[in-house]
Formats: sequence, structure tokens, C-alpha cells
Amino acid sequence: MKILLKTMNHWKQIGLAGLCLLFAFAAPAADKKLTPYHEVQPGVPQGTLTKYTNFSSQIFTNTTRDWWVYVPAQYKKEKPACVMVFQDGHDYVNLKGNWRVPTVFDNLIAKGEMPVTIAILINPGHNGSYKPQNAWRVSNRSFEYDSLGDRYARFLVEEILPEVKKSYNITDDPAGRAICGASSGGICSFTVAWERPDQFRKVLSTIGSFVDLRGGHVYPYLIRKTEKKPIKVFLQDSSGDLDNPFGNWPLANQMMNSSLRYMKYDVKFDYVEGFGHNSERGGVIFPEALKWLWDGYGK
Amino acid sequence: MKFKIAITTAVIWMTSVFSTQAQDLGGDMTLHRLILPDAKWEVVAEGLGFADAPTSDEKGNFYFCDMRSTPPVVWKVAPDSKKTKLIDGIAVSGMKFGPDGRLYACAGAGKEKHIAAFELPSGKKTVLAENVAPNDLVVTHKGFIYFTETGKKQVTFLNISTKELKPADVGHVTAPNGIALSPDQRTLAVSDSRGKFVWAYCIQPDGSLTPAVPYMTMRTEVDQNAKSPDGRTPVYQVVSRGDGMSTDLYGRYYVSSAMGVQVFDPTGRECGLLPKPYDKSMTSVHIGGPNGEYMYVTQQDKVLRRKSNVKSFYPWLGPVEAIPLPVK
Repeated sequence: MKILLKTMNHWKQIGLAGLCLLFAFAAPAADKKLTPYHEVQPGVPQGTLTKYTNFSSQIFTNTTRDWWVYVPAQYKKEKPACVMVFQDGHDYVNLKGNWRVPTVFDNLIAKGEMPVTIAILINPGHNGSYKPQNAWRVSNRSFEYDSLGDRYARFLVEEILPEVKKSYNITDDPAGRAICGASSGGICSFTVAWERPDQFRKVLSTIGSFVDLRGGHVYPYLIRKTEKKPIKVFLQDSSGDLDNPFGNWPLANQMMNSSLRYMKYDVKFDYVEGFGHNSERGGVIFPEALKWLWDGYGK
Repeated sequence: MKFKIAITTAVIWMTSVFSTQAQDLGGDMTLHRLILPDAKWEVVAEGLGFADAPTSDEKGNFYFCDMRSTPPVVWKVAPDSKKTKLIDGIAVSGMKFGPDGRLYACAGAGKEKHIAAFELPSGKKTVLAENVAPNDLVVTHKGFIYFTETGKKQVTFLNISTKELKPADVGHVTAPNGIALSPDQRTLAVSDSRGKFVWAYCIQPDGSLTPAVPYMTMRTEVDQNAKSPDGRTPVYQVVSRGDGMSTDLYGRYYVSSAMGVQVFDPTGRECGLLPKPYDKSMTSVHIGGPNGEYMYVTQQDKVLRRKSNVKSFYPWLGPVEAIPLPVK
């Protein structure tokens, strides 16, 4: 009995040390401050952002949407530019928001930390039957973003990219085409690359809705039972994300990460404690995620 | 005792915290145990009219038919990749070697509607059954032929020696198409191009097929035109386009389909999906070729192959027990 107690104490000590170690591994309160990449830097050439309104689609009938095209200052029409498509475009063009795509792209491209890339920033469609409270509340967002299958990919490949190609020289190399979104826009981005790896091979998903909004919870299992596709994926989520009738976002993203790892994908997962279903953490790590996603391209 | 438990618990706890790589169960036939990481798809033949009927012999020769060249041709591809015309003038949608060394073929797509046997190398043809509409076939070591008659929803039995011809199964499979034997030749699997199952039958000693079981469930694309019952849950297509099939010595089943090659373990569980290597519809998959170590697919104008962690077997040499997949 005496021996047992001693031993228990011994294990208790190791256990405590282990717990301390665990806390050391867990991230301390993650930073919420945006980075210098989010600020206009002196001497850095600024690209142009053009807004287009009322795009009407043959694939998503009876909808219209606004969209934007960012063209970096370094773009030359002789050389095909890389492409990155953003879902919920209104959030990514906001120069006071957490993303600030034009400024972050200006800074990364000027430093040679990502290739010359044209950003296409698209809002989900709206049927005009009501006035949405805000740009997130349009009629067709969940249908377009959460649905499985290749419909949204076809919308990009058959309707949006040809429209951009009328004015700009963009690459046909799928490894030079990235796609990004948050929440439902995150699963949407993954779905596009999953369905059409011949068109898009880089995915950036933050707080991705890999849950049962419209059947998307099956991905962790589909990934394990499908030959690895040539897709590079950056995922971000945090412990404070949603837990609701459709699923648990932090667990779903961990499942996505583990499945992609199991199948030996090129994947990076940013997971920290706290934060909610918003772009606070995504915005902070956005420049680093872009660097990782584009690392090695064209080299 | 308690001391032991404490240590065990601690070890388990530490293992679960610090181990980074969990393991598959030994019996799990994962895709990692099928795909060779460095193997690439290679072109066997291209510029074809319409490729189908892939098969092999035990010497590593591979055969297929270009059904829509003029005239249609059965090609032989030797292990050194040299191609020769074996038979011309007949469009064949399925062929296999039999225990007498003859090549048995389904001629149901063209004017002919029969099952034929070819002596090789002479090419001498004998018609075994006329006025049938065969799509694909297998030949057992006993000299039993089973062939699919897709339009009739029928699997048909033909005894090579007695010429007895009779329906073996009618109505279970909506569009019987691909057909494959297990290594022990006691199970027959049939794909359903208009359904979502691959059916399996026990081959009885007298050659009859019973019971019929919807044994493997195929993956299908989301049906984007279907109305979701709750407006939210996706509806998956019922039509798998399950087509030509094959099996390997490890007991795995391979089914060509709209989505690519679908692979199942001997218990009918899905091992996984290999998306189509090329953007044209897939008519068949075959395990064989040199050393029985290749997977072949036919995709309209091309035949492709990839070295894989597979092993072929040759039914005319007799039944064999499936062997366990080697653990790396």
C-alpha cells in the first residue's frame, strides 16, 4: 500500500508536469491585432479595384450580384497573372475590415512574397424579392456556397472567368488559381477545388462550414476514400467557433485537417483557442496563409 | 494489481497524448494499400474509336477491342508493349479466356448477336449461342459462362460443353453490365449501370446463382436537378453507370463508373474511389497485364494503365483462395 501511494504520487507529479507541458503547447491568447501587411506602406505601388454591378447568371438563374476585380500594379498583359477568387467579396474589399485584400496583395506582391495575382471578389446572388439586412443575408448564399456538386464551380469556370478574360490575361494553370472564403464561403471554396482540380488547386478556408448545412459534413469521409487530389489547402478555425444544430465547426475543421493529412495532402491548419464565428483570427493570419499557399509557385 | 493498472493507464494516457500517427487495422484495405505513390497513369493505346473488353492472359499479354474502328479490331498488347491485331471484323464488348485456351467473346453490339469462342492464334471462330444480346462475360474453370444481357435485366448461363443456355437471374439488377468472379469462383458480382448497387450471387455447384444480394453500394454524384425533400439535404443520383468489372487475388472488386474506378473489399465495404484519369466516360476496368500488377481502364478513345498494388489471378487455372494483402 505504501509503495502504491508513493508510485501514485510519482505519477501525479509526472501527470502535473504533463499538464503543464500541455498548457505550454496550447497557444496563449492569440493576437487579435492586424499586421503591417494590412496597412498601406509608403513606396508600395497600389493596384486598382474595379466594381461591377448586377451580374446576371445563366447557372444561378433569377439572381444578380455585385463583384470586384483587383489588378496589381505589377500586372502586365503580356504575362498571364495568377488568380484568386474570393466568396462574399464585399467583406474582402473592405479596407477597414479584417481582410483588406487590395492592401495585403499590394504589400505581398511588392515584396515578392506572392506572385502577381488578380483577385476576383464575388458576392453571392440575390433574387431581389426583398431588401437584405446586409450583404450576408442575400437569398442565394447558402444554396450557392453550401451545396455539394460542381454547380458553383461551373458558374466560375463558365461565366466569371470568361468575363475576366475579356479584359485581363489570366493563367490557365490550375496551380496558379486559388480560391478563398470564410464560413459557407470556405466550404464553397473547397468544393470548387474538389470538383474541379483541373481549374483550381489552392484553397484558403477560414471558419469553414464543413457541417450539415447542405450535406457538406461528408467531406472528411469522402476525402479518406478518394484518391488524393492535387489540391493544397489552408484551413483555419478556433475553439470558440459555432456549435449548433448543423454541427460543431471546430470539430468539423479538425476532421477535415486529419482526413487531408491522412491522405497526405499538402495542408496547413491554424487552430487556436477562443475566437468566434468571425474573421478576427482569419484576418490576422491572412498574409501568412497567402505566403504559405503561394510558396513555391512558379519556382 | 492496482499498481499495474495505474502504470497501464498512465502509459495509455501518454500514448494518446504523444503519439502522432494512428494506425489502420490490418484488415482495412485502404487506398494507401492500393495506390503506389510514384506510379503514374500511362497510355496503352489512343486515337481509338471506342475501347472496351479489356482482359489478360497469364503470360502478361493484355487484350482489348476497339469496337468502332473500321473494321473493329481485337488488339493484343505484349508485355514489351508491342501491339498486334488478333481478330478483326467483330465488335466485342467483353472477353475472357476459358479453360480450353480459347478466347470467349460477347458480340452483342453490332449485327451479330452471339457468344463466340476463338481459337488462337488461328482466329478460328465457333458460335456457341445465337440470338442473345451479351454485354460482358466471365468463364469459370468448370466451363460455365455467365454473361449479362443488359436490356433483358438478365444474367444468362451457358455451359460450354453441353451448350445449355438458360437465364441464371432475371429482374434483380435493373441493367446488368459488368461481371466478375471472386478468386475462389464461388461468388459472382454484377454491376448495375442504372442502379446504385453491385449485386453478388453465390455460384452453386450446379451453376445456378442464389441468393442475389445488393452487396456493394456505389458512390454517385449529387443530382443537381432533383428536388431535395427538405430543401437542404442533397439528393444523390441513383444511376451509378457501373460498367466493366474486375477482381484481384486479394479479393478486392473493381467497378468502372461515372465517377471513376470504385474499389470494394471482399466483404463489400468501399475501399475508395479513383477518379477518372482522363475526362471521358469509362467503360471498363481490368486487373492484369505484366505480372498481373497493372490496373487498366478503357475510356472511349484511350486505354490507360497504372502499376498498382494489385495481383491478378486466372480463373481457367482453377479456383484459388484470396490471399491477405501484404502489410508494408
